Amino acid sequence: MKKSWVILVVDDEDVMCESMAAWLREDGYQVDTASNGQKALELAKSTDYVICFIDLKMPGGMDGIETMMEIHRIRPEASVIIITAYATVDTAIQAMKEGAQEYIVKPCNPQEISMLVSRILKLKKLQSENAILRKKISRQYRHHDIITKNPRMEELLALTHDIASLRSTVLIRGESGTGKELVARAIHFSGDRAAKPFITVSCAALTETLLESELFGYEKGAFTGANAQAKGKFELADGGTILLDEIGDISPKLQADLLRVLQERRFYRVGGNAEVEVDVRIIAATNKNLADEVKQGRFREDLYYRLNVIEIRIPPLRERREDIPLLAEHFVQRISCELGKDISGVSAAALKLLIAYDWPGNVRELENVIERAIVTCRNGTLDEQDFSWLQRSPGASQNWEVPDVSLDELERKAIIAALERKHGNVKEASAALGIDRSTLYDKLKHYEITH
Amino acid sequence: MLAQYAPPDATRILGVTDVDLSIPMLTFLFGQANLDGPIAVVSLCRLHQEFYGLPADESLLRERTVKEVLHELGHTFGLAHCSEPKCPMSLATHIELVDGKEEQYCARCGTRLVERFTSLGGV
Repeated sequence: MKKSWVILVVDDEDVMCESMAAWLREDGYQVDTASNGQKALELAKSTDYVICFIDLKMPGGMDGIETMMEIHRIRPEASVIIITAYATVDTAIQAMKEGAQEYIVKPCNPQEISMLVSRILKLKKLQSENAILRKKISRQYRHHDIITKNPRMEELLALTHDIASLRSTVLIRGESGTGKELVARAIHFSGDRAAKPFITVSCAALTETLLESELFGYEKGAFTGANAQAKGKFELADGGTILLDEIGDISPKLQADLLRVLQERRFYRVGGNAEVEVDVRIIAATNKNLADEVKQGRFREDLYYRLNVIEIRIPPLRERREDIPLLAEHFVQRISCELGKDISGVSAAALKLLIAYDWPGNVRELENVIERAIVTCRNGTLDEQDFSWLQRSPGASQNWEVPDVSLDELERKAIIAALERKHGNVKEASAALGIDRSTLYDKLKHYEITH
Repeated sequence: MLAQYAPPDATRILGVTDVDLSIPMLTFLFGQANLDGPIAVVSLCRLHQEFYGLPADESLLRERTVKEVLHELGHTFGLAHCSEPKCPMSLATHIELVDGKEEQYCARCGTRLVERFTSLGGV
């Protein structure tokens, strides 16, 4: 592990160079040495040094600071530690100003060097890990990951692109499962706030007081259990974006607090008396019709207009049926890969069934349906049978009107209808009704039905 | 300099001195060795209790010396510092850390040492 880090020691005195290198080698690092700035630069061109120890005073040509600046030009990521024989504040300040990470006075305490090196390496590891994760996340949420060929969706995506770098508040409307969070992330990760945090708060999940401290943070002693000051989501999202999901569900008091944040970008922590200022882009999402909520007096009108600067309405899946085959294909590929099953696609008949279905749970439901089908699928293609359970979904029976009769009468009619459909087969009729065969016989006797 | 005193059939030589050691870069050392090389040296100076203003303790000095000898010899056989604080190969920058070590290599360093011995043709 340690071997992958290479350290460079630059000093005009050979003994210095070698003794330092020997010490670092004993600690398990790979170490190169150079006796002057020129040689150091030659080495830095071919090797990616993580740390460079550079002597401040070197005769002939380049001194330590110059060498450091040149090395930084070649290897901007390398940490430079300046070695100096005399501890003068001036040189130390100059070295740090020019970009040295640290400086040490020789001869120095062995513990100091070991700690310095391990501290810098720890930081490097975190930085590289962080860079990898960032890349992963931004790749996950780029625009083209929203799969569509629906003109309305394409228009919507173009809009999110145009507004990505603005700070204006966005209100995303859409039924649950349409991908409100995905759109919010796409806005965040394609704008200039991409490198800053993206924080999601589900407003419906928490009670008023909890949500308040969640959003604004609290001071020590603000309430029982507040043992230390805590930052709220608004502070954590500073410089980035906050997504307030289910905004239609917040209480009138929080609506007032939120209005203030939107107007002034400042707030108080719970129990605090110092104002906190933040630079946050706010995206709100809801599956309710906020205009209706305003009319009914449940949502503040002024807050509604503040939130609704840019409105994005995501169409439900049933209004963009042409996307169903694309999405299904995408989910099959992703999920079969995740579950380690070799499924090549969806059969034409099954696709027809999927397109005809109403999808009350939208894209999320489609994703779940595909996952379930993949789990139970026994051959390489998802067939009609793999989705047979979908036909009995409540979506199809939404328009069914209940006749104005007693419950007994209703049951009697249901049994007769089931028997007729199954041509008098009691076993199949009982299965369709979801009851036991003997129970059905009892009921036949009870309602005096002959079959 | 030590090398010339080594008998012809020796593969490693370790010097023990009472003088306080330092290298140009560092203020002090308990010992120093050629990594994967023939020569090592251990200083007893900072292993004495007297150095820290405490009464002399012969057996403690012996223990510390054994640990530091194991440490420097380990380096001459190519071992780097170990992250297990009880292993003699761990890095000690003050005397309490030396006292925290045991007089036996940890399993990992021990295995590596045996591997080295075998590759050297059994010393």
